[in-house]
Amino acid sequence: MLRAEQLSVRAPGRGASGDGRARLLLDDVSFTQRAGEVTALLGPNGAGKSTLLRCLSGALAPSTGSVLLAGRPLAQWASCERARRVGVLSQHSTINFPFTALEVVLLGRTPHCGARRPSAHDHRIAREALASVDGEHFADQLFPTLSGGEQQRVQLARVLCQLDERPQPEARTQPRVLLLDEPLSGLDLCHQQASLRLARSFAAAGGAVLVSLHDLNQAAQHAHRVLVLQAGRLQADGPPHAVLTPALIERVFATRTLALHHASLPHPVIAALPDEVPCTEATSSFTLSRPAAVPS
Amino acid sequence: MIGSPLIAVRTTLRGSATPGRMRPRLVLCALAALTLFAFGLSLAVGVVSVGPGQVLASLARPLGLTLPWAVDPQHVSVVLDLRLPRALLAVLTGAGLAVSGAALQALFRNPLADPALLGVSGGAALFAAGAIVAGGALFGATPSPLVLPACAFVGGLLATLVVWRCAQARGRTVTGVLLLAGLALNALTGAGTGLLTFAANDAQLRSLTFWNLGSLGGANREIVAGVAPFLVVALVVLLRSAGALNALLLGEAEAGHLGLDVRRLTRRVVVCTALAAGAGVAAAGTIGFVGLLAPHLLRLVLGPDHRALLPGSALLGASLLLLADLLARTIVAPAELPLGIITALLGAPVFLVLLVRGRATWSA
Repeated sequence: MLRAEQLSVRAPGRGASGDGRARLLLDDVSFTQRAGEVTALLGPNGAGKSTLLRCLSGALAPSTGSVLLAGRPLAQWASCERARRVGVLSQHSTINFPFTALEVVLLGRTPHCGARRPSAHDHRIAREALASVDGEHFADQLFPTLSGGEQQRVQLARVLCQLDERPQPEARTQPRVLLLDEPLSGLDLCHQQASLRLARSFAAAGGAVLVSLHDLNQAAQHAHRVLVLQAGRLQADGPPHAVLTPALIERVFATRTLALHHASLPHPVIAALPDEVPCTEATSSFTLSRPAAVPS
Repeated sequence: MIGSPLIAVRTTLRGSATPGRMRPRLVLCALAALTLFAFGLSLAVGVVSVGPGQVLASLARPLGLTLPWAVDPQHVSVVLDLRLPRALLAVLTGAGLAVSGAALQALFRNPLADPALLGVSGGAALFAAGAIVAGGALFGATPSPLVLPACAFVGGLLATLVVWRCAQARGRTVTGVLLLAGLALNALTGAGTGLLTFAANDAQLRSLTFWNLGSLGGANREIVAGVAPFLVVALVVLLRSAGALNALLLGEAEAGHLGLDVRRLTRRVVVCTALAAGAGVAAAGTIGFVGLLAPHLLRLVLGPDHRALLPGSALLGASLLLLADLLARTIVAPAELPLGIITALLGAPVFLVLLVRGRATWSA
């Protein structure tokens, strides 16, 4: 559905490194994002996660390589048509103007409306999108007065509303891609889970989701697939349980971890290890039995 | 029991659960009525008072209609030759400044943007001053009435481009840099205009002072006909961009993700605001605070939706300038106060009150 082919992005300006070559923000990254799949994008700060998402959304033209949406280069899509296929939730966005939460969500209908005003149908879709992020109760409150987490949820609702193609039934077969750049920052645990569940149900309905995350456990729990970026290079690509090993995590994040298994969880829980605790091969992975996890 | 019909009336008026918001259609109708009223008032009131019936009869005369009111030919001349061009110019300039202000605030996603604050008016005034002082040498002894608006337009456009380029970093507009660049450009154009003032002769000096303080006193049919096309085109284009400007408030990147061609939209807004502000300055000098005040007042009751805000700003800007000009020419009649002084004198305190009342809702 969305294909990145040998993407490289050079750092803008005078970002040449010691050996005289320009620093690469992305270095030969290739992968295919399939429909129905939630892919988590992991990596340390500055690894190139946001740069990759910006390339995939068409906001940034790669120095070399190309992005294909449904087999067609992204640049060849009409911008309005593309906006109905690819939704982007950015990391930092502020609104200085007194829109209500619902009005912000309604702006997501812009590519569907063209020059006309939002119809009753658009209003209904916006209300539903806001309800899906548990935001009905602040629909009429002013966006700048909402908390950071509430603003983040409103923005997610806006992007969901942007990709809603009802009532056309044939639209189901069209590609729909959701790109989320750290959508969990500022959210409480309940809404973190709820947001990722929304991403999963978007994928289950035939969409594709690429989400950059910092919480490895959230990635392990919700993603079908994990991409790990380090210094602009793709280090690993595969199902979370195969990729997120203590060895890879130590190599990429410079942090020693334990993978804790629990009978009631389908995947291990990754816990960072304090520096003073010695870690041998024997202790790097062990199993907690049910009674040990739930002391009476 | 008495409360409930009142609440019903209030919800009908407001039409939304958001505190302070009113129905856009209602507000626009009220503003249109206000503009018409102010327009009629500025035709009727002045050193010579003309009754409402006589105003109508005077307006009907060039259309070939005869109305049942007797009218003094001298009054017809006062209404048609003096007050009508002046009122039309007030409407055009006020609407142009207010809509430019609202559009620039959307473009820069900052409620502080204003043609005067960003140096647009300064650039236009500098080039207008250049045309006044050096115009005889450059364009011949009797330049066409279009030369001045054209020069002011080029000045406004250049100033907008300089400020906008200064504030661009990695495709983003840095607001702090923007306002400071506007400040620097205002100082620069102010110095340039000062130099021209220094070099001007007595007649040119009078014209220059007129630009700097702002006045509609120079209005006549030629000037109205000269600036009207610029202002009308700019207003129409800006009003048609309302939906796109709404999306732009989310941020340039977000607007791009919503399918907007942000570069083209930005170019269109910059050119049109320069056109409107430049033509306004050319005809009436620098008039502050209309571009800031009208959109801010209206956002309180309409919210930031540009589909209502832009036409509302046009109407409010027009009525504000009509009423301010009425004050300017009646307070010390038969002399006239400069219009820019009135708008600043009344606008600045109102703007301060708005800022203090609304400071809690500002996110940064």
